[in-house]
Amino acid sequence: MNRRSFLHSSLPAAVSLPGLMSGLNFQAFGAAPGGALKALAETAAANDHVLVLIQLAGGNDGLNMVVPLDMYANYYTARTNVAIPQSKVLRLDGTDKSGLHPAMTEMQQLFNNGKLSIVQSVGYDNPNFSHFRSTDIWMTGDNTVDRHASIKTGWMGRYLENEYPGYPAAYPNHEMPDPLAIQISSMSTVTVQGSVLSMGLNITDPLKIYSFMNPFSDYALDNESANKELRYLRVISEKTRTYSEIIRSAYRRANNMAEYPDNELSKQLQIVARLIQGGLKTKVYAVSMSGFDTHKKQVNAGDTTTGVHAKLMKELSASVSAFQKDMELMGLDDRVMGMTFSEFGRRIKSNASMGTDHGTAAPLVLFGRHVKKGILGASPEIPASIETNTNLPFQYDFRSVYASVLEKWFCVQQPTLDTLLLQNYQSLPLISAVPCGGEEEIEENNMHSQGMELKMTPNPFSGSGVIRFTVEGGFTLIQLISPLGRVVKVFAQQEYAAGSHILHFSDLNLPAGIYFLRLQNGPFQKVISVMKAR
Amino acid sequence: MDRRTFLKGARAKTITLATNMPRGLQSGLDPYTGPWTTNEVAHLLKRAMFGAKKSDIDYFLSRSCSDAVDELLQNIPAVDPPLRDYGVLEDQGIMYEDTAVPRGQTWVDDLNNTINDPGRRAAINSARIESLRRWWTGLILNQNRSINEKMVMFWHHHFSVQREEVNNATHLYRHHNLLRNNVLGNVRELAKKVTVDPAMLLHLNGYLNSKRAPDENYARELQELFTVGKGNDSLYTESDVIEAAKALTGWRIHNTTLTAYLNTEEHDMSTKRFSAFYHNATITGSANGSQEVDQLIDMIFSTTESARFICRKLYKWFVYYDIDAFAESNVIAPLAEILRQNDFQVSAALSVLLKSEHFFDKQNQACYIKSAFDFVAGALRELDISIPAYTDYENGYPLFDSICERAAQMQQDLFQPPDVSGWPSYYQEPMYYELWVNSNTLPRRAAFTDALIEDGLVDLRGLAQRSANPADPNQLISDLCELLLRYPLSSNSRNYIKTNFLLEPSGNDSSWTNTWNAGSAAVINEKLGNALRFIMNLPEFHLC
Repeated sequence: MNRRSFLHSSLPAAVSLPGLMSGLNFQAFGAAPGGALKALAETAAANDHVLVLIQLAGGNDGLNMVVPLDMYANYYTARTNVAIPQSKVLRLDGTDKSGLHPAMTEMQQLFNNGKLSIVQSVGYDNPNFSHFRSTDIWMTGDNTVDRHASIKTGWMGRYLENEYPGYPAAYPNHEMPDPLAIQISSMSTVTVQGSVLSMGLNITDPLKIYSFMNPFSDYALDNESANKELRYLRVISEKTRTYSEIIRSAYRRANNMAEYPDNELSKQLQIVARLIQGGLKTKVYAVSMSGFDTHKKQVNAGDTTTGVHAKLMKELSASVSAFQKDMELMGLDDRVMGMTFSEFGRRIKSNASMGTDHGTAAPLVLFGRHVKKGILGASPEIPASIETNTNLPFQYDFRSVYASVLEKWFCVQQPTLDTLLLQNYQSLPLISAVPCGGEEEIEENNMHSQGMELKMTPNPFSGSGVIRFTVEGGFTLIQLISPLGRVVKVFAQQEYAAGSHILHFSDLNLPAGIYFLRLQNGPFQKVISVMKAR
Repeated sequence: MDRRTFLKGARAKTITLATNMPRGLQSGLDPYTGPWTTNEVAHLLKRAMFGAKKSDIDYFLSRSCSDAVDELLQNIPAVDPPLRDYGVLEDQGIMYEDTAVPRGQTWVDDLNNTINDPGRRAAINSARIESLRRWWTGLILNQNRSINEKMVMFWHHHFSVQREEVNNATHLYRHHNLLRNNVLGNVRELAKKVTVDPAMLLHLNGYLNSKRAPDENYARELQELFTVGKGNDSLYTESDVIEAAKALTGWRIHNTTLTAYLNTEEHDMSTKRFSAFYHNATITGSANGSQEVDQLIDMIFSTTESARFICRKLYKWFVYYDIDAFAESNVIAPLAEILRQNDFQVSAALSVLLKSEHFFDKQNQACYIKSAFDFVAGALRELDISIPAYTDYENGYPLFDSICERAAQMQQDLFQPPDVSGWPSYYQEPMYYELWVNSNTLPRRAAFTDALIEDGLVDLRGLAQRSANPADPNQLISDLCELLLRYPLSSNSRNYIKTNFLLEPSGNDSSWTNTWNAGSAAVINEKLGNALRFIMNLPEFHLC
């Protein structure tokens, strides 16, 4: 069967339609040369790569995880009672712009050894401040405006459904004898939800045995409605039994080789490591940590490098590092990479309870042998004087990170990539692995991004003005982001020739305050702050 | 039977997931006059309540179908409020005491809004919300012979207020009470009350809706999810959403009383004009409390579509998820007429539906996959596990908490439906009810029923003694299956259970008779427990 034509004909309407309806208005074409070469490299179920997703549930305070040293004075002013002292921030090789939370010594080492990359200010254009809704948006990659048309499938669910057509009826089989995705948790997540079924399995204890005896095949009732449901239940119980046996035997075949700290994340990652070593071909593992909703007392009063958030940072850092070490000792580090995500970051300004409230964009990290070393993006710009609810503008759409992982780690090609993510997103230089990772380094990309001219005059602006910018050429997006982190005006979304351009705007009716102007061109982006006059 | 062949067979089978085929039902709303046996009573009780206890089945067997439905609809109990079950609270090393209410007393009269320390207020609020969930779970487990609890859950599904959005125990309790007090009453009047209920104002941003910046969130959901829906004949327009939003501007929540009021400064006094779908109605600006709300809801309910929409939702909750053309014209349309003729009294429509030939049609039996609460509460009740009173905060609430958490893990979390549109099992094509059971929830369901046996919660001998002849393994298996499953297994299947769990290895029927009559309690319990666990692990057990 022709795989490509299958993809096009069989993707459920629910998956592909909303992306088309929203008009692909967010293009980032022309990311990097070499598309044709990559096309040749793509193979079915492309490779044996594995992705480990670590959810930081509750909204991680990104500004205290990756501290902006080049913005330190404003950072300190905005959140004095929770600010990490400058001298305690862990320095990273090759950059003096940002450093890590003092508890993250293991991740500092991973970074310095080229096994960790950081993406700054990852968020989206229409931030939602509800844990629930924002988690859904992150897990689905939802790009719809109308909530009733909102996407119910997970970004990984869509990938797996596309990669393994006919699940679950035709599985396990020779090509994919194992679960497609495994979540080490008692709650299922939308990340791996397919159009009709979850593409993943949930386990908490891989050794637990359920019988799911299902020895009968008779349908006693002459009642097609009841028999239909009975058929469904029999298939599900059979799959669950089959897969739990597969998981159990893989788990038994393997043993952890690295020392892990004693915490919840490590317990989950230890299971993941054993299942990978046990031979599972499972593509995605999802684990999670909770407790990030640090409205109060995220730091201890006497020493802001300690407290709730410090403990979380330590758990994350030490567990990820132990897992990476385990992968290396098992000889599996070539195949495995991981990524963190959280539904939102936290407000720039801290509150009076030694905590921080729900915010918007935040950094995320990727780890593994094949991630690019470096910090993608600039330190988030923190204005000198801000309001309580001023939020960080995003530099990178989280779906651009997803797109880059799918493209460069799982070798998903166009146009499938856009179909899976519902529209086109930027391709970022985050992964170097063969056969489909990219050549470009993070620092080259940063230099190029920062080198782009972007200027608004007058500044402060009122109703009208001029935007000057330079681009490499190709699709260009210029957005104005409000103090709440929301895109309130799109100045340009079209092709521009390489070079300098001028764009006039007028009749801009907005409340006074600090705004952010974001320019995106190919894989590059730049954000500057501008002021709307009273 | 060769198990291996079966497995292969099952694997090769393709599941057809979409069925929008006509189901060939010919029955309408005429009263059901067929046999009234355990089968029919169990069908009615499993749909109208959470599980069918043997004692309830026996009770209704001696009455007529019509009397049974009447009794289920009339038997609405008054309930006592939730109690403080928590002691001193601890949050990140700080201790908080709820000084307003002693343990064992209800907290609902204290609004928890005068304490200065936000940490203490938050700790108390969370503890109260937890106790609210336990209390409700206790009410479900202790339900009397009534449709009450199933309908309270229906309204929760319908209006779908989430604790994460509301995050206030008083608002949640009052909202819940509003549903409970109007559980079988006038749905139009309920819609009016819910529209200005503080929990709903918080949940769908009504409290932010002002004349300068109208927020359409509630106005949209009101029409789409609560009153007229998105069916083919629902023709309200985008402009109707905007006009409705204007009519609803200015509702705010009072800080001290936590009640809703109309802030006339924020209220849009213009005339709101609606489309032809609403007969070009207009609503004149009024600063007089809920006048515009009342007019708006009356206008919406004056459409024929509104009653049909409510009836479709009830149908999916009680009968089946797929409404084919036959059911639409022979069940939904006439039922909606009955609802309208009875001034939107839900009990009137339910009475006709639950007594109908259609409801008892064979094709509508055993085709409903149990919700999480059908599953957990049904199992506890059908196995006659003794349950503390819902007012027993010391012994009851901890158990209710564990049940509630189990159900949440099975994707039915009280006060936190997954979406503004309730549980997807009742609206999400193509899987509907099937969404309750997947490779995540199935092991949790099995772990739950396994634990009931392993933890010794079931009086196994007592349960067996309900059988007409527990010493006869054939009779016993038939009776256990009748109690727990919706239809008889084939004789091969019953034989399988008997041979594998009751009889001695290579023994005959008399080996069980001997065990039952003379065996040790431990041996009897083990055999019965294994048989029961097996039956509850069967795919058939998830149907009701």
